Amino acid sequence: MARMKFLCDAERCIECNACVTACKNENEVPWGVNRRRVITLNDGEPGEKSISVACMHCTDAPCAAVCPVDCFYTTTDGLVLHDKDLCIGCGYCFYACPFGAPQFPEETAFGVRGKMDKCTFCAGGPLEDNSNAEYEKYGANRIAQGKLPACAEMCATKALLAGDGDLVADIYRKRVMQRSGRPQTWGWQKAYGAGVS
Amino acid sequence: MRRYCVLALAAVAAAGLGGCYETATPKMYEPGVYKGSQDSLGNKLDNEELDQQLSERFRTAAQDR
Amino acid sequence: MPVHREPLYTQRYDLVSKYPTYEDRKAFWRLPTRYASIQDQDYSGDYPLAFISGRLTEYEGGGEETRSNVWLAELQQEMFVEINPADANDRGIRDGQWVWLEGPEGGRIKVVAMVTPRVGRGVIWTPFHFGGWFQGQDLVDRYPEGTAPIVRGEACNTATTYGYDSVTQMQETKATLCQITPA
Repeated sequence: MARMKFLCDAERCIECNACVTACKNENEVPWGVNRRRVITLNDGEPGEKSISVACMHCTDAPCAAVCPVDCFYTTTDGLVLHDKDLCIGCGYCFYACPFGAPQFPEETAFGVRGKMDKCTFCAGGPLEDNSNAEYEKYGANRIAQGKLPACAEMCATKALLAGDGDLVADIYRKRVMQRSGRPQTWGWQKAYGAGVS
Repeated sequence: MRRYCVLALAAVAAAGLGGCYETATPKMYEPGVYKGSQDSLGNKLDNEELDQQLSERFRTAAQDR
Repeated sequence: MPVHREPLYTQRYDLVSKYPTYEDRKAFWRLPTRYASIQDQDYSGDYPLAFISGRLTEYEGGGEETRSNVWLAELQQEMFVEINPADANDRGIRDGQWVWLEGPEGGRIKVVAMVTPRVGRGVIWTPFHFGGWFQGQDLVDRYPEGTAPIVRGEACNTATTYGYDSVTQMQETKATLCQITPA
């Protein structure tokens, strides 16, 4: 049984935000809700790295553990999805998530946040697969159609991989072997000597 | 007047006796158990075919360049 | 060997005597075009920063179409200028602060400063995709109802300068000077 995973190869990510745009387009995500975002470290300096982050579909999901109404479930291939009809918008899942994946569409009085929205691995939600109701609530259900998430399919450099964990790991291992391990091995310092930043 | 009072009191007593009862089994909350509707995707995933389709798609789409 | 000629507005005015530009032409593609008469004056004292412009990933060209696209607009919501931390420090500018960027021909634009080591000292960079503001004023009211792009900003060429290529008449917008002051 395949266990679905995301892997973003920080060496290849060029911060083009194609994954972000693909996700927003495919799932009609409203302004202000960011299911996926690209984080850049050391911007402008040597050693700049970018990585694309969304829900990581954790094995032992902290969001599911803290939900007071138990609206999360894990599918047989490891995707963590939730039922928006049960969600009360308390925000506990957001506090628990180390990646900041749960997003809330509203910010009104008395802490009303609206229904939690997050990356679904393009697998929709508990409503009827590929129905209009499911599309409006949860976004596209590409997995049910045999397609992989839009973000990974749209990645310009194939930095973002999504699919069966074993296959993803194979590809990443091949890359690491070709790159000879750490990227710094063949980088600036190798060419110009230690002490050059 | 007094008769109406007695009748009203009797009605209230009857309603009270009828409405105030206890069920034998209280509803228990089970923590950590999913309480939403079933996802039809689950059935499809159990079927090997979708699994194969996704793996095949990954192999063609994510081939390293 | 091609001959190097200094741009009309240059930081290195000392090189102008060695690499002068063309003489003014009376009729270049039927238009009078100035070269040396502009380079005769030294602007590098008042306008010490080299001003270049370039592309962003999110937008394209003039930006009217892509700044109206809701997903792209959300990714890049402000017109900005990249300044080196040393230059920003000299002028008392902090990251995210509004600044006036003024060119030698008098065009001024009001943009947000991004203090970053992406640009070297003495150079500043702006994207050229923005439009809909003019010299500090948002012109959203001038657009017909419902047509204003979601994101508007200063057009960088409001502050760039005169100058045309000697063969193609292509504008010399990438080799010019400016000064930045806090707003």
